[in-house]
Amino acid sequence: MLASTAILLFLEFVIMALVSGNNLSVCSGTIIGSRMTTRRNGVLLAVLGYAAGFLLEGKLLRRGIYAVMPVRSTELIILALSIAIVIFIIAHKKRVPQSLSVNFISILLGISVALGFRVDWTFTIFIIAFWILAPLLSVLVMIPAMRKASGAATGWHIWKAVGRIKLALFMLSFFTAFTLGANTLGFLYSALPDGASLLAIVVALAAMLFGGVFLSGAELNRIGSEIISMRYLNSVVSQSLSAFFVELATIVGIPLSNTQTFTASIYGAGLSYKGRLMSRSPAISIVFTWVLGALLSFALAFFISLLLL
Amino acid sequence: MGVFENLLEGGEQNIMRRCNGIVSLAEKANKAVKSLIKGGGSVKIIKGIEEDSDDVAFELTNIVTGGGVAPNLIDDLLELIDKEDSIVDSVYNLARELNRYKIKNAKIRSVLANRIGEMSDLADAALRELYNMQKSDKLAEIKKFRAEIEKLEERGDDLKDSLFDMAYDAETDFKAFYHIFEVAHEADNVLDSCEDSSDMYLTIMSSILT
Repeated sequence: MLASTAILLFLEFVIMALVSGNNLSVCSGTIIGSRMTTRRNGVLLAVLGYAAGFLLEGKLLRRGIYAVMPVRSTELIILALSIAIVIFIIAHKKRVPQSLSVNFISILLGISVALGFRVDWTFTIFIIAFWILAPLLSVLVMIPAMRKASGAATGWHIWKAVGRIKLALFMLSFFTAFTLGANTLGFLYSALPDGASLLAIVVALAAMLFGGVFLSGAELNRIGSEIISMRYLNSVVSQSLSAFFVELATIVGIPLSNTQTFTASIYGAGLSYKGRLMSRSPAISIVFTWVLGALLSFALAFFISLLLL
Repeated sequence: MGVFENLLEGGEQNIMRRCNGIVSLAEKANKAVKSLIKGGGSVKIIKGIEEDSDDVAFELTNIVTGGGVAPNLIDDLLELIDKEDSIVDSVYNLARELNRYKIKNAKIRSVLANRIGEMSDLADAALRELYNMQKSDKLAEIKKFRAEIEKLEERGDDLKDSLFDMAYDAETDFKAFYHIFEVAHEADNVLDSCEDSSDMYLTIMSSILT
């Protein structure tokens, strides 16, 4: 029992550290990349945001977990986390973008289906629908939002506007980290069986710090430079929209990937330009790998559960 | 909010402010060229100003590439610095050309001096517009300044053409002919560089936000 709990907490630490590091670029990438602040301050801001979101709203994601996996034991969650970590690491090594939220839900679903648990299919379908609608809406809303913002910007005092946008970006970086802490990290915490709560919280916070400091990589490179170059107004509008959708998902209890909504809103920003030169292939390959990742995660969890349990 | 704005004064705004330092040097050099045309002044003074401009441009280039500027603006800012430094270089080249040869024909020499003087006056006006343009941060105003500079450059083109016409029409030897062409080109380069700088500034300011 103690050994199982220790393994569970270790896996929790690993996955939360990986997620914290991997998603830091979505939270603070803009303010670090545009040299508004140093990497150290950007990391600190993100880690504080993670912690705040996790502590204040992390529990809201329980509904989503209970829907796909009504029965949770330490052994099942160890299995789920192990599969998730393996997929995450392989994807990271191959530089294939993956959504942990999508993959983890798929893994939990695969285990539940294999073991015959009563899945709340209504809510599960609602989750999947939200995954599809949220990025689509991000793209669609970005187009008029950017055009309106660009139109308004022509009359502004540019330096004043830049100063205010930079302030907004700082706040948004924190808020984006907050929504990630609440949604993705809260979701991972909610998957844990009850009984390890306080220690699990401490482990989670330690993982956020570790991941933010040591594992924050360069995933935004693919999102930022291959789709379109980010300007101040693009950054603030796309980050606002992305954080809004993730926060909405958190309130409803749906795990939603920051990366999905952020990528979609950046794509929408690109589409809003009249004279645009954009490559579709990175966007298409990202969507393809997300869908494939979800299906593979489900299949892997399903077959491993059948074999082992 | 004022304190925060000061804290967050971007590298870009700082660079733009300091680019006006190069424009001021160009104005100073252009005034020295006008003295040269009237028979006074010295090429050495203008050379000194040109070296100062190179130093400022070098320092600004290091600031831009060293950080504190949004990466998507780096190339444009470097180009702006280079174009503004080119204004001073063109003024210096004009001074050297003016000093290189004295046309024997007094009438042609006088017409050349008058036309180059007019082109220097246009350059003066263009540099003043450029200076004010770079102090502005409203797109509508910046576009107006840019349009003014374009008009001044077009007037400069007309004067240059008239000098070429004079060179072809007048009874001159090869040296005088070549001298007129070189001087006209260099004087025109000053205005061209002003226009290029204004274009670049407008491009940067248009793209900072959107």
